[in-house]
Amino acid sequence: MTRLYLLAVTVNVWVLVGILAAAFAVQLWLGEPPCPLCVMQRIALMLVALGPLHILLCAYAASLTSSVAAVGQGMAIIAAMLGAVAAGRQVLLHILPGDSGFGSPLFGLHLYTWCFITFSCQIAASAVLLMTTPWLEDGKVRGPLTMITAAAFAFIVAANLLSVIAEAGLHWDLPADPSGYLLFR
Amino acid sequence: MIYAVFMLLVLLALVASSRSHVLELPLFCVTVLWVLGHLIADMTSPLTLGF
Repeated sequence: MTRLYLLAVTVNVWVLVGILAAAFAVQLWLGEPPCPLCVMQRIALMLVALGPLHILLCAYAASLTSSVAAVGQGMAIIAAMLGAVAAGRQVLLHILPGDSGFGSPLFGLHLYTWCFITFSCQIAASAVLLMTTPWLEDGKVRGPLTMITAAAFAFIVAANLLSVIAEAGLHWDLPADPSGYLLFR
Repeated sequence: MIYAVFMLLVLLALVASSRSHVLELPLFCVTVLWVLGHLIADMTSPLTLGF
């Protein structure tokens, strides 16, 4: 059960890293720099991933206990709620008829709508994983690919960090409707 | 730059987590609260937000 739990948590992190990478790919290939609310949603995705990573890294360093799992899933739920607020805010900004939305749609939905769905699913997934904690056996069981997972997450966060510095230039905030990278102008 | 600071805090929380450092949860909480405060400030100001 513990190994299955750690596998589920690892998959959770990789799904979040995949979403962040996909958003980054859209930004680079379609030439659409993210708006401030989009960046907020990316930051919320990163904060969500810190929850399952907390579980993986604690299991790697010491042992997986029910309290470690509860803290990690709690972190993920709080961050997902924050992200859902940001994504919901952006959905509501474009809800009026005739509004074409911000950015290009993907499979018929804009990225912020996908983000709202992602955060909702994350809350549900974390709740389900939280319900399984009574069946976890305390012990030193390492999750698969823990350090590779953490490194991939660190890489995508660092890439986003450099991207947002390039986009904002020396300004404290991003422009509301960004059209390029201010650092290179 | 503020978003870069948020992401830097996320990276710091990850490093703290990897070393089982006591600052991991405080860093996470500070980041969440700061992002929430930024979001609320954005939502309560007249159309200064990005979309």
